[in-house]
Amino acid sequence: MSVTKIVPLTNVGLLSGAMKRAQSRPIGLPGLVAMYGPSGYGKSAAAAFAANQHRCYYTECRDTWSKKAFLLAILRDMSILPGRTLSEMVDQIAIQLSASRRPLIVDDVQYLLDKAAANVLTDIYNASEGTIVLIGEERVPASLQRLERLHNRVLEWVPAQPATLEDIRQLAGESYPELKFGDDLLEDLNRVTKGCLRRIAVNLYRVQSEASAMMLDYVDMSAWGSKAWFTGEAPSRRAR
Amino acid sequence: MAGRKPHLLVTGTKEPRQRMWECMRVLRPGFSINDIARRSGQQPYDINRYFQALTKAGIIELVETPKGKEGRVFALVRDEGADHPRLNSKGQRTYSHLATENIWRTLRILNGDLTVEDVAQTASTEGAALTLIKVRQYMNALAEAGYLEKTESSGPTPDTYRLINTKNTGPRPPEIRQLDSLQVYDPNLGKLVFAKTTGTAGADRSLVEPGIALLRTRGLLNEWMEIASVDSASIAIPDDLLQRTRLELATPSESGGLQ
Repeated sequence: MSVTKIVPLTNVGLLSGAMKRAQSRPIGLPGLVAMYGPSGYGKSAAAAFAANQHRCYYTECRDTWSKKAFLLAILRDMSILPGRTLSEMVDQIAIQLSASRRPLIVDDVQYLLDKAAANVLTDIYNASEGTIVLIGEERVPASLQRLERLHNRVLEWVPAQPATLEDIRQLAGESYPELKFGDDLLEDLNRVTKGCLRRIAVNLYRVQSEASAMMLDYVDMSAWGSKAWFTGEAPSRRAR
Repeated sequence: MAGRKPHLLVTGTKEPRQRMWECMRVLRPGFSINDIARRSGQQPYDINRYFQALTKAGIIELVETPKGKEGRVFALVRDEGADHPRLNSKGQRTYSHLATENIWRTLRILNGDLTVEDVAQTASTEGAALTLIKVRQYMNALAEAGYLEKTESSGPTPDTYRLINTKNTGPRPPEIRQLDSLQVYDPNLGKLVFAKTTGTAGADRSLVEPGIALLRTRGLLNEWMEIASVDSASIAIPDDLLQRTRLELATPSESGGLQ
């Protein structure tokens, strides 16, 4: 079961707010926004929400991408007929970004930053002066540090936050409205999963299926007992 | 950047106003209605209406007014990029096209199992308000067309949808086009007496029209048979033609299933 529940959680609000500030920034200020955090914190969900709010262009990077593949992917999302050379494509993207005033979201940017393709990003930014949002994993700020020209154009750093108890309560309520969860259960779940939304959602699903099997409409720690949470750790070796 | 300026041309099929807009961006400093009509292949009347909206919105400007409507020269003063500005006749922005665009974008970004509520929450913006019913209609249509995989869940949890990987065809959302076919059947006469189709502009009627054409042909053939029966003495009609026409007019039940 894959989980992509969107409730207006903390991270969604953080990114949306940062983008609103970047879009209305005074002339002369840089326009890069960087959001980083471990996988499963709901960064892509935040990106999807912000993308709709500001009508963004969106690309998700892949590890194998070259400069050309990256540029072609952006142009595809703009539905613009690509030019013949790389520099023509950069020009097309830059003109479209600055003329339409629509931001560009580059998701999974960690794949791009360690390669030569990162300089293309600088080119696009310099030529367009538009709003560009970089979303990636925890090491994105460190990778950006090495790209000095890009690093000092960041207007705002947005670290993705681990889920709060309020987030989990909201997620549980929206996903399984017919079941009530005890606060002690949700707190324990948050502690064990260290605030990773994807694992929280997987575990909530397990709680829900157990509870429906036991015909419960209220689950707390005493009902759940000491059943193991799914933490993503590989099972330890069993003694024989 | 003089001389070589990269052109931004939109891929895929284009709306009439998109064609006009691309021509305006090429002829940036000065163009008349006739220039755009010649290049874009659109009607001067439609171009004039779009020009009026663009002028009210301050995107193009009248720079020269010689005698006559056709001679007026406009200039593009605010370039908005490859996509044509969507305006109503008063020059105000319209946002209705964003509804399906946002749903489609959400499905493309979050390619996981999504419920209708997830999509509606993510895709709703200030400009384009979405109701659950609208989102469900659009997503069911996409599921039927083979773009989404629908997983019907048992119990109280809602159904989930997932975008099929190969169907992520591009940024522009698939359009729902509908045709309504109205048919009136008279059981006394035992035949279809009236048929009409109405629907979304741009919907393909070629799949429905043959049925109507057939109805018309049958009517004509009926008239022809009447004339033939009256004037059969004066005009010589080949026997086999009459026979074939009778066969065409006969309903399956009358011909006893023999064709």
